[in-house]
Amino acid sequence: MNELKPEARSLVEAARGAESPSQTDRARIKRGVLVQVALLGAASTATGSAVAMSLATKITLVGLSVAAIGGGAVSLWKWQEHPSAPRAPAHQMVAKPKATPIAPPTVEAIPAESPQVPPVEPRPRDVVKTPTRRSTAVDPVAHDVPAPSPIRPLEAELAVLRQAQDDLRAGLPAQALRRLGEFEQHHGPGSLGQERQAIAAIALCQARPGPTAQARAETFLRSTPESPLAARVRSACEKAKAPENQSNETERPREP
Amino acid sequence: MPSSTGNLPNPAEGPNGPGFPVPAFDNVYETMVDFVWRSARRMGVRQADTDDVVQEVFVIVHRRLAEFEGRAQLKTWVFQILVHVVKHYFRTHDRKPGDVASGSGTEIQALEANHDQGPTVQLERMEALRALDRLLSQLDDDKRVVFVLAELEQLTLLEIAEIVEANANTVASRLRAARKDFEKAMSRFQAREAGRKP
Repeated sequence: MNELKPEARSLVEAARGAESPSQTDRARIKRGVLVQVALLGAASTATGSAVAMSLATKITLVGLSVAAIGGGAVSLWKWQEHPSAPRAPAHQMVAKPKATPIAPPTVEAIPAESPQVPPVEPRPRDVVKTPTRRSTAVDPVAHDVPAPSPIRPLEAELAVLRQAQDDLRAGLPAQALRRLGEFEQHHGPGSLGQERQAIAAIALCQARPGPTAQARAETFLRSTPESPLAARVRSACEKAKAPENQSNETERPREP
Repeated sequence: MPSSTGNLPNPAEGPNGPGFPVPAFDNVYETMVDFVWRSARRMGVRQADTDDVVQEVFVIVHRRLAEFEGRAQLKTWVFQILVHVVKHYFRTHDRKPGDVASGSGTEIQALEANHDQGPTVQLERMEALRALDRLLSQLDDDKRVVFVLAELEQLTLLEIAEIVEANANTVASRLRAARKDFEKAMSRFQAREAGRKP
């Protein structure tokens, strides 16, 4: 086979390996992957990939949890709910206001070693328990106790979002609202506040359509118009113009 | 992340078959991310979209890792995923032929981070990257993929054949054509550059 001429060869060699992502890039992308996997959940949990997630992953998450996860996280729900809808790009996770969305690859676009793709197992519900409430009382020996790992709140937050999403799918918006409210009460704003707000707005529109739900959706859309969830909130809350006293569930939810 | 292990297959006895250890995602990520990122760029993914494409690749890797049977090399398997994701990317994105290494953003950061090189070497590499991207953008998709895998990532014809799901003869002929096109593009580029010089 003819080889490249020396000039072309030297250009290729000069460029080979010259470019690679920075540590920040690597970490940001990895966080995006983990958030996406955590929220989509089923496949990785069911197939055991999650088992392979090592402590290093968790440490990475700790390191990354401080940074805003931004619109990317819950956009995965958007994808999950509306597979044809664009999903939040990774770089939106670092608060870029606009980004070109990338649609997920089709199933047939994914190569598998085995010719037949095994069916995705149903997602185990409520895999992660919401952590119990932390004591707010002053602990006299608190200074001797190591600070709780920030991985827990992030994990818990991801789990709560996933569970709330499951609730919505199961037609239990009040349960989703209660879950989100309890989380906020116990953990404060967290890292995924925007996503929680979006899911809460959708849940409220489903549970109690009316002016309150409408106002809440509008507040969300005003404050984060660039959110990948904006379209979904808008669509879910179209019905929110109905009377306030209508409810999809008998139980009145506590708003987060 | 805590997870229920009730329904999970034992990774050692799961879809991979008994005895084949499931590679840990962290290891796969750390080993492959540079290669995937770099290759996505050289295949023509715009810089602004590279993170998304790489993320997509690794989400699929994460979800399908337990299915990896070890029949192929891990790198080949990951690259196969990358090629599919990039193809999908091009189906859904307009091309910008002029979108080449811009000398800003991530590339510059990556080059600056390489402290063991002097500024002259860094600039030369940057220039080489720019030129390379311009030349690669002259190749059609199939040739470009084969050229990147063979010349930049130095994979064998058999590995490339597996990745692009073609036979080795087809790959060899594509590579030959790609080299020819690349050199033609290089001659044109040099002629233009020479014309600009006083």
